[in-house]
Formats: sequence, C-alpha cells, structure tokens
Amino acid sequence: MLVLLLPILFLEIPRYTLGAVALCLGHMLYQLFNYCFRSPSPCVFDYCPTITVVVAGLNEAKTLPHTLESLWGTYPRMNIVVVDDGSTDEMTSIAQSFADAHEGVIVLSRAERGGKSSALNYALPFADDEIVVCVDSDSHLAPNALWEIVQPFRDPRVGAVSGTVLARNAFCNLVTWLQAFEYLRCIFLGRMFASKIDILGITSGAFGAFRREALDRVGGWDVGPGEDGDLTLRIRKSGYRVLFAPYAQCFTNVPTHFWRLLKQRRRWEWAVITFECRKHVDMGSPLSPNFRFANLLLLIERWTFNVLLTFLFWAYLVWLAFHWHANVPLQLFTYYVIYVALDFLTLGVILYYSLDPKRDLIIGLIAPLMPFYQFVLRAVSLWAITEEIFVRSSFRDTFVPEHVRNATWHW
Amino acid sequence: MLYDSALNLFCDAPSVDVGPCGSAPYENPKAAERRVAARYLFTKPMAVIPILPDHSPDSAFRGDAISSDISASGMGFEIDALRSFPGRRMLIGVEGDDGLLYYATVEVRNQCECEGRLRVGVRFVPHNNDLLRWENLFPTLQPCSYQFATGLPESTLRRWVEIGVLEPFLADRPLLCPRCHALPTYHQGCKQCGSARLDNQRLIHHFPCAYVGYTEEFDRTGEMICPKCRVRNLVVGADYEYLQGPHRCADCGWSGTDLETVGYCLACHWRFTLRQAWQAEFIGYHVNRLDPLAIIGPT
Repeated sequence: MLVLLLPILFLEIPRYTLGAVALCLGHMLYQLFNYCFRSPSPCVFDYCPTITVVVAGLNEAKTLPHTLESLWGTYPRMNIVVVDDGSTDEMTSIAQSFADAHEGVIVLSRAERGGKSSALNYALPFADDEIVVCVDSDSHLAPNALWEIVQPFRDPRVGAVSGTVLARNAFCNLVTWLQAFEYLRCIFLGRMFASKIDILGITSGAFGAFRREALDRVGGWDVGPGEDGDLTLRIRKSGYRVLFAPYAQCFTNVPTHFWRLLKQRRRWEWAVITFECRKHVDMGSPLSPNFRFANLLLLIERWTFNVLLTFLFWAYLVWLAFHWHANVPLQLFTYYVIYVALDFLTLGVILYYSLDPKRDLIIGLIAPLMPFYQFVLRAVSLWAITEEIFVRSSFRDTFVPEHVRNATWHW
Repeated sequence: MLYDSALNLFCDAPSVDVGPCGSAPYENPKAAERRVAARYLFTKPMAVIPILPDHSPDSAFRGDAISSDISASGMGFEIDALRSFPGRRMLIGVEGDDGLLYYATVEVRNQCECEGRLRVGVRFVPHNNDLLRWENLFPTLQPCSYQFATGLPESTLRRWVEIGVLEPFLADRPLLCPRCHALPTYHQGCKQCGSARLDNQRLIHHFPCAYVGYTEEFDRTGEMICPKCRVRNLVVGADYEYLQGPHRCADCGWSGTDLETVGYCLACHWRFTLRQAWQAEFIGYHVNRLDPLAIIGPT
C-alpha cells in the first residue's frame, strides 16, 4: 500500500505547492538581497524585436474583433496575420474590414479547412519578422503582454517563450471557476517553476512566442492535436531554451460545459502519450544530438506525474476498496484537508505574484472544491491515457480534418 | 433633362405665326441674307450678346431683339437700339416657353436698317468655331501636356457666368499627379517601391507534416519532395494542396499580400501612392443650348 501511497502523498499532492513555495521564498530572498546590496533598477522594456502576431481560427467571427483590438497598437514593430482556416461564418470579412482600417494586417483565407497546424504554418511565408507570436482568436491580451513575451528573446539561446493563459470567463459558472483556479495554479505558477528549473515543455497555443529562426529550423508546427507541446519539444530538441513570461498574460474563454471540458482534457492527455512517450522519447537519450539533462528531467516529470501517478492513484483507490475498514473515511478526509490546505498555500503564492490579487483571491476561494474537480480530471486522464496507449484515439479526433489525419503519421 | 424639355418646348414654338413645324417653307421676300436652307417664320423675344475677340461677352452692346425667321443654318431678327454690331460673332439667346433663354453662337452675315430698326441675318457657326462647344466649357485632356484644361480661360468663363449665360457645376474630383497635376495611370503595385513587376507565388501545404512552403522548395530536383519530412513522390490532392502565396516584387524583393495602389504620372513620370495623389476639382459649365433643328421639326 505504501508503494502506491507514498508517491501520491509526497509527489502528486504537493506537486505545485512545494515548487511554488520554494520559488516564492527564493524570490523574496533575492529581493531582500537586492534591497540590501544593490541599487534598485527600474523594470523597462528595452528589447524590441520585430514581431508577427498570427491569429488563426475557425468560425471565430464573434470573438475575433475583440482579439484584434486588444492586439492593435500595443507594440510598435508589429504585423498581424489573420488566418481563416475555412470558416463558414463571417470571420474573413470581419478580419478584412479590420485590415482595411488598420495598417500591417494581412488576412489569409482558406477555402477548405486544413487544421490549426497548417493554418499557423500558412502564416509563416507572410511573416519576415524575428519573432512569431501566436494568439488564439478567442483570446485577448493584457496590457504590455507583447512587450513582456519578447523580453526573454534577448538571450539568443531562447527559442520559445510561453505566455500565461488565464480564464476570461472565470465567473461564468462553476466549471469555469474551477478551471480559472486550475489555470492560475498550473499555468501561472506551475510554469513559472518549471521555467526556473528549465523543464518547461509546453508553450501555450493560446499565447506563445517563437523565434523565427527556431521555427524555420524545425519546419513549423506538426499535425495536432497537441501541436503546441509538440513544437515546444522539437524546439528544445534542436538546442533552444524554452522560457515562461508570467506577466505576458492572455485571457481566453475556457469551456463552459462540463462535457466540452472533458473532451478538451482528453485531448491534452493524449498528447502526453503521443509526444512525450512516443514521438520525442529520444529526447531522454544521452546518445541523441543536443541532449540535455533538462530534457531528460522534463520527460521523467511527464512520465511520472501524467502517466505513472495516474495509474498509481487509481490502483490505490482499487486497493482501498478491497481493504475497506472503519478508518478509511477519516483517512480520505485527512487527505482532503491536506489537499485543500496546500491549495490555500498555493493561493498565497499566487497572490504574492499576482497582477490582480483581488480577482485571483476570489478565484482561489473555490479551493475547497478543487479535490473533487481533480478527482474527475484524474478519471479523464486515466481514460485518455489508456485509450491512447492501446488504440491511438488521437488520430481519430475531429480536431484535425479527415484528409489530413488520414495522410499523417500515427505516432 | 432640362435640355430635353427645352427641345420639346421648341418643337411647338413655330405654331405662333405660321403653320406647324414641318409645313411648307415660308418665302420671306424681305429677307436680307442669302440662306439656301428653307426658313420658317419664328417670332420670339431674344437677347443678343456680341462676343469680343478674347471670347468674353461685350456687355455694353447687349441688346434685346425679336426673331423673325429661322432655318437649319441661320436665323433673322430685328433689333431696335443698335445701328450696327461691332463684331461678326455673337451669342443669341432665344426665349423658350419656359421663360429660359436658349443660346447659340452665330455669325453675322448681313445687317441693314429697315423702318428704323436693324435687321440682322445670322448663321449658326460650325462646331469648331462654337463658343459653347463642350471642350470650351468642360476640362478636357490636353494631349501634349496630359493636363486638364477648359478651352476658354477661367476668367472668360466667369464673365459669361456673371451675365447668366453659363452655370458652373462640380463635374468631377479626379486624382491627379501631386507634382504636375497631369494625368496618371494607376496600378496595384509593390508596397515598398511601387513597381508593377510582381510575381504571385504559390505555396504547397503538405498534409502529413503540415508544412507550408513555396513550390520551389518542393520541386528542386524535378521530383516532388517535402523539404521538412523528406517524403518523396508527392501526389497533389492526396498528399498536398496548393495555397495562394504572397506577391514578390521583381525589382526590390519585397514580399507580402497587401498591394498598394500606385499612380504613375504620364507627364513627369513621377510614382506616388494613392494617398499622395492630388485631388482636383473639375468645374464644368452648363448652358441651355438652342437647337434649330428641334424648332423646325422634321421636314
């Protein structure tokens, strides 16, 4: 039983909390050191490369104007490429009318849907700038988000930078509220920590930036689903670093219906098997070119948390069901209390870094329900991982058009 | 429309003194001029404005008259006040039934005093000598300079406006060369240098690896090979599709989708963008024209 329980107790539950607390304490000490021994330096955006923002979408006529308005005029050396991936609504005409009124906006329209990867790749021949930034067409950016996301590229070793994705519709219903806290915990805080120890393996599709040279080297996006994670891993494999810009914030609409959420998470979990366990498993081999220990660590982290612990968790529950005794409810309640307490500790760290503490505090009040939410997601994870391991369900998903998924390789 | 109504109006006019239009020609034994065309009795109040050598109106000699007869090539009228006209060319305005004056340029063929009045025979001038011809009243392209100008100087036309013969109207607002105001041609050109020498490149989307690149990248050895995943013998439709690519300028190498509307001046060969073009205001002049054939009617 201990074999099953210990990893869950000491790895899974405090996964984000320990890292977040360590990060926070380290940052505090750093600030204290700066305060005592260094003169304070103002935070300025002194790196300003040329960027192309690619907004690819399908049937996003309603949300696209808001996205474009949030982008326009926020960065001086910027071009925008809008790619309509075969929409049946007014997306192209809306984008075109925006382009007519604003300089530096290109609209590309495809008659037939080709998938998100090819839509993003379609923008590349039209972009000559140093940095390519991807923004989902149902998202909008916070002020200075573009400035924040390009600053890490000052280091020529950096190939990709992930922005923070937060829930725009956080208070729409309980499902979105739970996701909003999850995004704060896993993306805002989790990626901050992962970036610090150089094991960040994902650049959000909703808001991520890539060095053009790195994109050319790896040939752009591959067929999805999970194309954003796949591209990040390939960029890491080609020798670049991947960083996180916590204050480059993007607000996106999260699924409002439970079944849509499950479908989305199922897709995300498939990507772990497809990419980390199959396609890019060579990243962990010391014999592969551009091998880095951080890449191996990244794979170990994914295998452990996303695959191994998922199975262990359910194995533990099965074991518990077969060894039921009077203290089990108390034991489970203790786990629940510990989990919630750690979530509140995580919330404290989030508030320490937050740009909008009041909003994030309200979002964090959902923490007592998070264990139940996580329980459901664990079930989805088990289902998705198992089906992907045995039947490769990802290549039957409608996220990619049929003619593309029939032609592509089934990893 | 006004002009059309005026024509209809004059079709009915001859019924005043003689038979309706198209009746047998009337032989006026007192006619001073020697017109070969059949003439018709035609009595209407009219204004007579002599034209000075610089084509401006001679307002001092302006007088009111009564027409006596009309033919396809000329007309006769009688005027009280004048002994003789200072020049040969003049503008006559014949009052229509609507009270408006309808003008024509005429040339005095003969004039004589008769019973204390001056009887004048005039001929309608040919088109190339007509003061009221279209080229004189509307800015037209000058073939040598590629610029637009009216046949008569602006100051002269304004004098005709002052006496109520011409009526100015905004005819057009064309976009002309900002440097010399001459006629340009417009084309969709390179956003950077304005050149019209653009190639529209095609892209290929390879389905299996989602790569999108120029056709040249795929077809380097005469065989279709994906530059990203190295798959050979690609078949269009099954493995890849064509997409529209950006335009590329053959002169400066610029690449993009958004073309600029570029103007090219035919006179000074200046290249400019549409936003730089000079917006001119073409003022044309409207006149109520007298049409003798409409008055006479079918013969």
